[in-house]
Parts: sequence; structure tokens; C-alpha cells
Amino acid sequence: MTTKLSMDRREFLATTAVVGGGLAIGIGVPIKEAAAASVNGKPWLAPFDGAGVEVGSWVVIGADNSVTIRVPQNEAGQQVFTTSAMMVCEELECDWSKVGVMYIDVGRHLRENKVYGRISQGASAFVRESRIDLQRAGAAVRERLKLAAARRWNVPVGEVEAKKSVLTHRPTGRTFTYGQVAADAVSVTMDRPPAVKEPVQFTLMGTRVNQLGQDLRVSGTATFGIDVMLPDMLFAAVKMSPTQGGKLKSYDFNAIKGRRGVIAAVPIEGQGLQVDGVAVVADNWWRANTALSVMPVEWDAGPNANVSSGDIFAAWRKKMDEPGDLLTEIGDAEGVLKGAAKVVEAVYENNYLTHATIEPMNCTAQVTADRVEVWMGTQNPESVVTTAAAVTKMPPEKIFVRNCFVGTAFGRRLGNDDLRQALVVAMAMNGRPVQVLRSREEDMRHNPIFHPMGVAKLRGALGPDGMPVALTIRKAGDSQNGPTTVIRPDMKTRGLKAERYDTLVSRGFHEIVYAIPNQRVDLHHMKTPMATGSMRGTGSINNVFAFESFIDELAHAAGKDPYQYRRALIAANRVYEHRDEWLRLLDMAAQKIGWGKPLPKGTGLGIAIDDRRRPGLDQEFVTEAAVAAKVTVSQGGELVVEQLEIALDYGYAQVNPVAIEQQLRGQMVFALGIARDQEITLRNGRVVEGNFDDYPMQRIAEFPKEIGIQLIGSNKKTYGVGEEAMPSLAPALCNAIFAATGKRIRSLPLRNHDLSWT
Amino acid sequence: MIALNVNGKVYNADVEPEMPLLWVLRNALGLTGTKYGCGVSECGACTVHVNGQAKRSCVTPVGSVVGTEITTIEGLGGQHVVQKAWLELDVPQCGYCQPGQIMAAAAMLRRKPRLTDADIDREITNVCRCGTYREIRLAIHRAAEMMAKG
Repeated sequence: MTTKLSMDRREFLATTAVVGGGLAIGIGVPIKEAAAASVNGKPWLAPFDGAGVEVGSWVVIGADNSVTIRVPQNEAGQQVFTTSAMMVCEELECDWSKVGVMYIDVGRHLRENKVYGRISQGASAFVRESRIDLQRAGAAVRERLKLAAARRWNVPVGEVEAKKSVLTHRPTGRTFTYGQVAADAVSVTMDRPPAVKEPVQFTLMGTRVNQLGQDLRVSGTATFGIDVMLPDMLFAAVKMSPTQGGKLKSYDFNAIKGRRGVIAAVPIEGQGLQVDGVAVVADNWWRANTALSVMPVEWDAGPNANVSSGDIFAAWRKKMDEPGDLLTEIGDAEGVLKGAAKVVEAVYENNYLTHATIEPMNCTAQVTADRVEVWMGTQNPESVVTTAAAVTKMPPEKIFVRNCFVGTAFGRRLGNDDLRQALVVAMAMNGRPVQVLRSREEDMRHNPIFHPMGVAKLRGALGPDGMPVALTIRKAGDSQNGPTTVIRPDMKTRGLKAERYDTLVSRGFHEIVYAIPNQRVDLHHMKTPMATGSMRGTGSINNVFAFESFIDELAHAAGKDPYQYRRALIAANRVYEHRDEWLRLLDMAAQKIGWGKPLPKGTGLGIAIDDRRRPGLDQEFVTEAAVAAKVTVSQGGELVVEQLEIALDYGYAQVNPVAIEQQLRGQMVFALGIARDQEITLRNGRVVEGNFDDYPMQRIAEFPKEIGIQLIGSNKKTYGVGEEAMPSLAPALCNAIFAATGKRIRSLPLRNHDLSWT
Repeated sequence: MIALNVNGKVYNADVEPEMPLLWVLRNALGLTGTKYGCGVSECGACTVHVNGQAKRSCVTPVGSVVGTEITTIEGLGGQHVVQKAWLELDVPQCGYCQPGQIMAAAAMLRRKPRLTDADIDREITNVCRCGTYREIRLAIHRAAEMMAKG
């Protein structure tokens, strides 16, 4: 047996793990307390009452013919519950109206050699990396049910058909329901994994399916991490060092000791990128937080008390005159620029950003002498176990994780920094469960992975026909760990020189699709006191804004239409394998936004295009998207986004078009917030912004009345749909503002700019 | 002890009058459908009805609503016309803000059964981080239509 876990190995394991009925693993939590049809309000519990038989690790079939599907990743609005079920049911041929879902048991996943594959959620990876596994899981159960029925009838399995949860012996018309033979199927083993359907054979995938669990979401009975209620539970608020890298000096619990409901104060030592903190525990979170707000706390501000965003920007602007780590060198861009008649130069800047999940960071933990229980909404349940084991010194098999409904994630819930705090507090509470919840202000100001700042200087030389003959990009961005080494066999053939980069700095500047004969891209990987990391969109947020705005600048300098300019530059790249999709998507977005029609001053169109690939890793997975924007800007400078058009290539297969469309509109809202209003500012080592008043969110009134979505499927491997169109929104929007007003926006957010015109 | 009428039931809560209604509902009464998002009346995740009017419970001292009729998402019953419209339009993504969105919409529709996009823009100021605004708008119009038909 190889160490790599193949599907047959998983199925083999599954036959040894028969569970009848008692699927619930919670202690002290009643099964199916909340009303639910297809998902339990507590999604770590079974969705259906009554006994069930587990056939394989993924599927439980009830005597009532219900089908419960185990979901490996978290549900944060990206519809993983529904998508998982669709991928399994496509093969299982079961009755969709009787399908329910629940989260996998993380402990079992670890005990059984990671039987559920990738269970961490990130990088738009779910469908990309799990679809075949889930199809295989469904197909295996279907085949085992068919074999079980064939044995009962004593007929060849080839004569048995599975459809809508019914097994039919075709020659005689005899039938069994899935529930009737499920127990037999448990002991059926298969020599090899069954084949799975190709996308052309899909009957469920690709159709529009409403989300599972919507009844819970609209009735308020979906249990998010923050909603977990346990007997004897305590509530804690936490305050962290206001400065990045600061230390807790002292706090005076005696000053708040007598306050109503207040129980204790617990210091929390920082670790890694997380700063020191102190929690106050009470019988009610408001009491805890109010007491914490008046408790005297002294901090050692640490080494970064004089660091401000403005100083970082100033230092990085200076870096624009020094060469950085080389990423790309094709031809002699510097040489051509020196001798060029027409040169365009611009510097683009982005401040820090934060994820601002709508559900603030929280975690509920209970640590007793013999077990650790954790309830939270997490993108990374596997690391909950390893972190909890490290913090509590308890063996992993004594750690029990309950993943919850997740109030948005955007990458913020991968690191589980809230978990560590909750465990430290819970360990001081003699076995009582504690929920540690950050106030919005603490959540906003403390993030181990703020989205990085960026300064990028771009220079372009135009030839006599106005087309670029040379391009240089120099970029400075936060990089906590510096560049890492990446080796790819095809790098040299593509003119790439760099083998060392951090994609948070570089993403969006790799393998530029526009045909420009001389290119040089270099990067400054900057270590700053700010804790930075990945957020939805990652490095492309800053870089695509800079690059796709700058292409517009080149077109303008050349006196050419920016859409046609892009088109010509893409068409001229005869070696790029996805060139035709780029052209098609660009055309679709341009056409739908009404490109080319005369518009009054104050109204403008803008366009941008990008693709999502993982530089240096799985290059064959790619998703491209073009975004076009129509805006009006009043003479007073008031911006209205009238229309957005997205054209996206979903590639090989789509699972649920509803999910794709909702993700795309969601990406636009997320990106509009960044473009218009949001920035995290560091002043004297402290994050200035604290709540939605100074880190504003888009509301329904600002949401464009029209967001058109056009999808194509070009039969290549799909990257994903969680973040592929959003980096193009800001440049499309700012290009439209330029067209409307003549004002070129080179830094975000827009609220720092005066857009008025005469 | 503070006596509260929530969803037609009388609760006695051992809380100080300045405690925001949100935390009385969530931590003292265990009604967790009403969510905490910002604590400063910016996001609307905590929206409830007080005597039929939408109110942001995170900045509403519980002492100020004694003697009123308080309705939370749990009290809407699951079959409210707005909830039906929300299900029909498949509105929620993550779902966290939706109880507040639904309560805000329900209060507005009660006051103004015939409404326009401009009314929605002005009165529905709740934050949805997933970006379900298109579906929310459609669902509010759909609920209005269902109400008009009776």
C-alpha cells in the first residue's frame, strides 16, 4: 500500500467503519434540537432523525431513504453544503429532495488517515481539488448498492439500474429502495474505484439548485460560532496590544472585581504575529466587555510605536529607484526605455486592508481534565486540532472540533488565532466552557493577516504605432517571510527569470498576457511591523489595479481606445495558450456594457481583464474574467456605479450556476468596498480604523442596479469562482472614472480623491 | 429583574437597565438569531422590532424597551411573508446578516406596503458582506407583491 491515499484505500477503510444510528458525536447537545430539513441547525449533527447506515465514509443512508452527505469544508456562504451534495449525488443517483448534509468529524478524518482529503478551505480550491473525490465517493456507494441488490436477487449487477434512490432489476421490474439494501451494501467491497461521469454526462451538476439550509438562515436558527450556547457557559471579551508588536505590562483586575457578573481577567501571551492580550470573563459578554473597557491596562508599546503607513509609503517610494528581486526579464526593457521617444510612467499605491468578516472572530472552548471541546466557524479545522493539542498539551484524540455556520471568512479564518485565545482563557476556567468574542474594534485592529500595502512603479515605452515596445514594473509589498523558491520546468521557455518570490507581492505580474517585446519586472519583498497575509483576491488586488490601470494610461497616451488597445495586445500574443478565451471574454464584457457608443461627459466606461492561476504551482488550472464598468460622476464629484458586466470562463465544468453567479456578485461588492472606501491605516504603530463608520461597507443603495454575468465553459481545468473577477473591478471602475472625468486614479480608496470636474 | 415581552412571552431578566437589548436577548434569553456585527448601529445585524418598528438592539438599552412588544427573528415564525420571499429568491449566502435584513424589511413593508427602489435604498442600510443585495431587493419587492395579493 502506498502512502498516498487513493480512493480505493479510502473505500476499503470505509467498509470497516460501520456506524448505525448514533451519528452525533456531541456531548450534552441534543440531536436535531433546531428545526431543519436538509441541514441541522447545529451542522456538526445529523440532519435527519432515525437510524442510518453508513456506506463508505461520506454517505449515510436512512431507513426512510434519506441520504446524508458529509461535507469536508466549511460553509461560509460559498455554498459548500450544496456543492458537496451535488457532486456526490450526481453519481449516487439519489432523490435530491431527501438529501441532507453535515460536517465531517475532524477527529475521524485524522484517525483514518485523512479520509476526507483536503478539509481546509481556501484559494477557491473546493471544486478544483475535491470534485473528483466526491464524485468517486458517490459512484462507489451507488455501485455497492447495486451489487447488494444484485446479490439479493441473485442476478448479474449489469441488470440493476440505480435512479432516484430506487434500484430496479430491469428484466423483471423488481425494485428496492436504497434504504432497503443499504445495510447489505456496507459489507460489499469493490476491487477498484468506479469510473465517474464526464461533464457532458452530468444531469444534476450544471443545473440551478437553491442552497441547502436556507430555512435555517432565514429563521435565525443556523448556529454560527457566536451562537453556540452551552450549560454553564461563560463569556469573555479580549483586548490586545494597541501597537503592533506591543507587550502587556500590567492590568488591575481589582478595579473591576466587584462588577456585576465579572469573574476573572486572564492574560494571553502573544505568539507569532499575534500580539499580547488580556481577557475579562463574565456571565454575559456585554458585562465582560464593559468591565474590560474600564479595567486599567498598561502596555509596553514596543519597537513599532513610531511606525505609520505614511512613513512606509515614503520609504517604499524611494525603493522604486532601486532594482529588486528579478521576476521577469524579456529582451532589454531598460535599454529600449532609455532611447524611446514616448515614455509613460506612473506610481500606483494601495494601503492595508482587512477581511472584516461580518461575524466577528470568536471561539468557544471547554478544557477539562480529559478532553478539549472547540466550537467555532473555521476554514481550517485540521489545524484546530494541532493548535489545541499544542496549547493544552492534550493528545489529538482528546480534542473535539465542532465546525459551525460561518459568518463569512475571506481567508481570515484559516489561522485560527481566536482559537488560541479561547483555549488560554478556557484553561483558566476549571472546565467551564467559555466563548471568547472580539468586539468589532478589536477584530478590525488585530489581524495576523492584514492584506499587504503596495507601491508599484510602471513605465512603458510606446513605438511609432502607439503600441508598447517596452514595459517595466517595480513593486514593493509586505512579505512576512520573504520570497520562497519556486522551480518550474517551463520557466525559461516563458522568459521568466525569477525562482524566488512571494505571491502576495508578485501575483498579477506573472507572465503578462499582453504582447510586449521587452519586459522587466522586479520586486521588493518588504518586512514591516504589520502582520500581513492572504485575503480573498490576494496579491492581485493591488497588482491588477496597478497594471490594468496603467494599460489604460498607455492606450490614452497612444490616442487609442483602451478596449481595442488591449484586444490588439492580446491578439498579438500568439504563444499564450488561453489567448482566445481572453479575447472572447474581453469582447463579451465590452459588448454588454455598450462599448463604443457616444456618452456625455460625466459618464464613462472602463474595462479590465485578468486571470487566476497559481504562479509556479498548478499552472494548468486557470480561470479568466473580464469586468466592464459604467459610471456617472456628477460635476460635484459624486460617483454612481451604474452597471457592471462580468464575463467569466468557468472552464471544464460548473457545479451550481446559482453559486457561481452569487460568488461573482459578491466579489463585486467586496471589491467595490475596497475601491471606494476601505483602507487600514497604521499611525504610531496602531491601526486607526475601528468599525464600519471608518472602514465603510457597501450598502444596498451603492450596489449597482445592474450586474450582468456571462459565463463560458472552455473545457480547461477550472481554477475557481471565489476571487477571480474581483481584482479587475477596481481598474475597470477607475478607468471608467477617467473616461468620465479625465481624472486618473492611482491610489485607493476613491474616497480620498476629489472626483469633481468642470 | 427586568420584565420583557419578547415574541409574545414574558421574560424576567436579571440585567441592568443600561445593558443593550442585543446582549439580553443573546446571552440572557438565549435568543441567538439576533446577531452582533458592530455594536454601534452601523451594520443592522441586530435589528429587532419594538412595537413593530425596526430598532437596532445593539444600541438600545434594555431599560428603554420595558413595557413594549419586542419581536425577534425567532418571533417572526418562519412563515412570515418576508421569510417566504427570502426562501423563494434564495437570498442568503452565509446567512449571518439575514435575520437583521429580514427584520428591517418586514418593518418597512408593514409601514409602507407599496414601495420603490428608492425607498429600499433609503431605508435598508443593513450590511451584507457576502453581497446579496440584488437578491434582497428582489425579495423585498416579491414580499410586497405577495402582501398585495393577500
